[in-house]
Amino acid sequence: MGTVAARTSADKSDAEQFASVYAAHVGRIHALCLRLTGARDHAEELTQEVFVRAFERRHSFREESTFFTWLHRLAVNVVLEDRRKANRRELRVMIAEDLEAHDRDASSRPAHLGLDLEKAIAQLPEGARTVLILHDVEGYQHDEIASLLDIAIGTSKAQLFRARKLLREVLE
Amino acid sequence: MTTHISEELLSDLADGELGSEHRASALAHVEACPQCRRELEAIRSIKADLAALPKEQAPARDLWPGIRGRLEASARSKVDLRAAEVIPVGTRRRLVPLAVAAGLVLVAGASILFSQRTAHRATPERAHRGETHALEIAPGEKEYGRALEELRRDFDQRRSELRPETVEVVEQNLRLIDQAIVRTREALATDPGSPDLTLLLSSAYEMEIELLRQANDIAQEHQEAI
Repeated sequence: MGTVAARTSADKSDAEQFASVYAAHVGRIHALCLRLTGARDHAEELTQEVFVRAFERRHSFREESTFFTWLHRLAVNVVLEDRRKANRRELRVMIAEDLEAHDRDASSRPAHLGLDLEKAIAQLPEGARTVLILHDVEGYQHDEIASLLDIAIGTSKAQLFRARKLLREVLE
Repeated sequence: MTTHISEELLSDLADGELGSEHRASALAHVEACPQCRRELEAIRSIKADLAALPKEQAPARDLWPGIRGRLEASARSKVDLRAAEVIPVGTRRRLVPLAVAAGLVLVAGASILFSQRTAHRATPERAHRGETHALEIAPGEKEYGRALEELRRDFDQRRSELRPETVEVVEQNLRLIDQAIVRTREALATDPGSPDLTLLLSSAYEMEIELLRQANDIAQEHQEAI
């Protein structure tokens, strides 16, 4: 039983240390989940899920990439997996309450950015919105997006073009 | 200058996705064409706006207590499965993992409350294969079914990484939870929309998902340790 007890103790200690990982990255991961889902409560659920999975899979992290890159990809996968499994598209309605969250940092942004742009993004079709967020907000390349979403690079480019066009129409 | 560059091409130009030859000719056109220049500037402007959006957004509430709770619960239940990995065969039967105990509570609860019901009985084996999810009796059952099928497929692929005794414990637990699912569904068939039964049913599904997920995680850990 010594082995089991030691493992429990190690897990508990690891979990306590993991609090600092959570504190360092929760803002980025939550922002990503919020934009990809468009719903605050759901984004919080998924953010929790990302950190639980990250903890459970922490031993699979290889230092070929930075920890944040690994965590960010894990978060994208958690959101995509959730979409596939739960088919919650109909719930993707960005209600006014959710948008207030985006507005908190408005003072630190140029006036033309922020709420209107976030609202416009939330109105995009899911596929176009996902590619737009990953490419233009998060800085992923088309080949990375294609791999994450299991689509062709050309499809990723087409979705991005469509998203920008729709976004400009909404904003105009 | 009547032939303009397509918007797709301008988008690629703004993203630096064009090869040097195409890029040079596109830039030369843009230089001479006010309409395409305006279009390119508009694309660059929206790109800049998007890139300037705040990258961080803290959640409205502290999520850490919930995360910590899940990590601790996960560590506790993993110990149950790991105990089955290390305890001698003769004493293993005395160990009743949490999932078994909880599954028994569900089975017993549903049985006591609804033992007189005569709705169509699905066998546990059918429930195991996800066939009971074909006809959705409670919200979200199809999604649970899909998640379980996926996890079950993973488990079948990874079971060789676990000791046979552990696989037996997992299978035993799954059968018990499946029985709870079957009986709760039967009860729901005669009392549709019952919130208590719906809650019991979703709890049973969640339990099965968690059990399979943990078994798969342990199998993966074993595989990585090799």
